Amino acid sequence: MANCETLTQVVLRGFGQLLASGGLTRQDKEKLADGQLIALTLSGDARSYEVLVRRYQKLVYNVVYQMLRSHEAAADVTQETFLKAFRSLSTFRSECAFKPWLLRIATNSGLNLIRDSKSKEHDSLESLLDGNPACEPASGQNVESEVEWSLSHAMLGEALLTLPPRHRHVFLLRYQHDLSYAEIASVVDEPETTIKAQLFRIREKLKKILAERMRT
Amino acid sequence: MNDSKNDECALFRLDFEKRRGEEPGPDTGISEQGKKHADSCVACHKWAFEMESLLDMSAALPQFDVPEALTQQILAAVETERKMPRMSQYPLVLPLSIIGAAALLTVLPFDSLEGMLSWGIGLAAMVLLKGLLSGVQAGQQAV
Ligand SMILES: [Zn+2]
Repeated sequence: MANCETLTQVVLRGFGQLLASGGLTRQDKEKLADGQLIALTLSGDARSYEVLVRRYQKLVYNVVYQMLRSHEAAADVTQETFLKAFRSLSTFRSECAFKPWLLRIATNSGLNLIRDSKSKEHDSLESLLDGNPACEPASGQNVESEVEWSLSHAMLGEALLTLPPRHRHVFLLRYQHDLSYAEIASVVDEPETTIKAQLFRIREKLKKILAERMRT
Repeated sequence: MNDSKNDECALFRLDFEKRRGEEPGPDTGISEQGKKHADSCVACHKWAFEMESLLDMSAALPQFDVPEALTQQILAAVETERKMPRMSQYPLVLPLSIIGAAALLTVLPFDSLEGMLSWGIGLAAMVLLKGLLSGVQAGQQAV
């Protein structure tokens, strides 16, 4: 973070880029790096933020959907995420990665929604996820050795639902969305070592859950 | 003998962890040493197959496309936010205008020439204030 540019530097660079960009088309802007688009946005070019929205909306939407399991809520949180990001763009440091910063906003918004939600669905999901022994396979090793491993998307989707939302989130950030440990650590605000240990446990747990499901 | 076998299993799984667990990017494949171990160790062979299939399946989980209507909704919300006047750019002008207008409107009575004049100045201050707010908004739109 110490190497990050100051806001003044970012804005000044943005002004320079705006003057230099002249008649940049949307196609030109699509080739620009996140940092350049942010600088242009900060200097007043709204079209540059549109490019950022289009670049990351699918990722944000799908990450949030996996947390909330509702298209309506995912749409609301996606919109809220881009709005919050726009409001806070002046505090963003251009040398830092935009993607984890954006996903951190999305994650916090999603977790807040889960926390605030009084809906029966969420309550039951939370209680289900907070250590209900029924979610755990009876005896991992034995179960695994007895079943033939045949995995489907539907089965994996169901198994993922039995994980606590935070664990599901971390697992999918790494294995569905291909974020690095460092990026995930930045998104969920935990040390990389914790993420690494968590992912190890989550993978093994998922494997056991799936083996149990294949057996029944 | 058992200990050395366990060590080999642990090393094989550590190798897998490094290859599939740590950093994103293309799969570099199992090392020669790893292949040799997996061929001779049924447990690790099975473990690796299942883990590979779990991670491959996770990477291929279907993702939803964002409807254009939502994109437009997001962009419209951002545009509205962008056009909102930011009074932080005028930290003193607004409170001073309000205090000035309030003082002019309340201090002098309406039944004298000075009173009429103060009301006139007060109204002018209000008009200026309105113009100031519109100007801020127009400025935001122009950026
Ligand atoms: Zn082995």
